[in-house]
Amino acid sequence: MTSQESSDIMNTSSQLPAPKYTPALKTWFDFLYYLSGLAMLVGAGFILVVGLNIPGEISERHTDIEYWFNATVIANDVTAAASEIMQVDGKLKLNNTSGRAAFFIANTDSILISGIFSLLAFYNLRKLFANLATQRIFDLENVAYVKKLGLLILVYSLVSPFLTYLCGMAILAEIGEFHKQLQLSPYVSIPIEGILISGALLVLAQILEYAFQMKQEQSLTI
Amino acid sequence: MSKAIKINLDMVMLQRKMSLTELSERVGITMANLSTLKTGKAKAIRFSTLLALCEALDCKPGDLIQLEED
Repeated sequence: MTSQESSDIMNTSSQLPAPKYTPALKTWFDFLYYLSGLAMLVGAGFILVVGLNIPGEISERHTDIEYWFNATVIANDVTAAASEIMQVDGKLKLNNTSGRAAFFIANTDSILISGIFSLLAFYNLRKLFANLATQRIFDLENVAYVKKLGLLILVYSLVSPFLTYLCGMAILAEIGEFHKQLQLSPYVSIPIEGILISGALLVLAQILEYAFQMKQEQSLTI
Repeated sequence: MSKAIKINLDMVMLQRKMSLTELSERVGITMANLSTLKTGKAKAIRFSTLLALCEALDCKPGDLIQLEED
């Protein structure tokens, strides 16, 4: 396609073929956006109801906590050939802990903070797809949505490892690092894919901005 | 001192006593686009448009385009 042909296409949106998948995708992201909002509300309710019902007396607490940890399983027998039997990392469920603040910290990070980021991401995506569905493609509004999405993923990718580490430390400060044969430590993992995706989105936003300027110049060429 | 290209469509149309509607019909350019040209909002002009305007107004490109210094 020559530059003239492509600029003619940009100039007359009515010549573009009707979008096939964007209306369906817009509906899908609308659904995910409202589902995230609902999940956050339900999650906040769950944290409050369950968390406030945890007994004040430490000996009466049997809190289940699910969070990101590094765990080392230690041999029961000190004379065993290998003292460390197994090392695992990831989301672990710890049953019957004496944690109360730990419950709030784990769930606030897992449900509310991740929820806010998801909600903001879905908000930008649904706005973007709403514009694409109406054939508003090379638009400054879309540039802003793609840029916001990229920045959001970048911030989340950079902040979440620190947050997970700090929350893990706070949880372990309450429930303890050693549990019979289990030794826990905070989990840290930098989501490199998030950083790569955010970089690609920021580049895409820049390309869209150039395309918008080209389209504007094209529309003012008589 | 900055320089700019100015389209003298107004003046040439006045000299030829041609209305915007008539020019639009002769050249085959919409009134909106001719108005964009007249008001100086246009960023560029195609050779084909310039040729059509020159033919319709019986003038040379230099009559329509002028270098202006601020």
